[in-house]
Amino acid sequence: MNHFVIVALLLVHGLSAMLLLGAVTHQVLALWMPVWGHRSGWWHSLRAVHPDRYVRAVIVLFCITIPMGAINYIPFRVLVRAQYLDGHVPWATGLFELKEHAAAIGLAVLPAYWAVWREPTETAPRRAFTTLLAVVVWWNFLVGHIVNNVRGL
Amino acid sequence: MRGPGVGWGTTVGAVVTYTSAVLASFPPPLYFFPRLGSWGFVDLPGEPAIRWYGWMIYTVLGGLLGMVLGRSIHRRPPWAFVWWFAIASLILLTWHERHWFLK
Repeated sequence: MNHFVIVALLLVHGLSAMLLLGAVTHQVLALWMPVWGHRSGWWHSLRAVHPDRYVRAVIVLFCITIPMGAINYIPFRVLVRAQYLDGHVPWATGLFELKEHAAAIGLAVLPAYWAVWREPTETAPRRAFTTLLAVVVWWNFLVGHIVNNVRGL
Repeated sequence: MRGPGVGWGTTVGAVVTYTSAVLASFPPPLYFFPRLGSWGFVDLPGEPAIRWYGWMIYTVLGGLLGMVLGRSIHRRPPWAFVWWFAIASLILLTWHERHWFLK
């Protein structure tokens, strides 16, 4: 894989992760702190969204972000992890392993997340699964940046 | 997705399979060797390998199996079960990786 392709994929991975982060954060805020009535201001505008309208975006962006990261895992595994992180910064490898696990569990939770938003159900399951996904997305976003700052592609 | 247990079954199947593959090596680890561009069930010493791809393949297969089994559920069990199951899985997987932080 040449360097241009690696950087391009990394950019797409980062951009889709950022959009996913924004979508799921809007959704989780609107679920936990809904706004009633018309009020102005940034904080109110941030929460004044229809959380049900973010479901498809979250699923699609999650399903784009993971394969982009998975493809870039090949050069990362060979050039970064094997040659540097495992030997010199094992905690960074540990963080990355946790990122992988969180991504997998997040992907596994998507069918349940989709189902609770489709079913006429109470708010609690929607809050539970959306918050879990938000935590996974935030964790992976932050760890991705930390590990990339330690030694990037 | 149709049927009350399809989403429930898919998530449970995927979470169980991924957690089992990582913690208990069941199904057996499937390695991808990026420098060789090949797959195998046996680790090659000194050769960088990616196990995560194999785990993800198993997760998708586990999810599909869960989806099929979930179709036969007429009354879906509580969502809380799936949620706590996913949380427990994340805790166990985190504990499994603790050695990276103790070196």
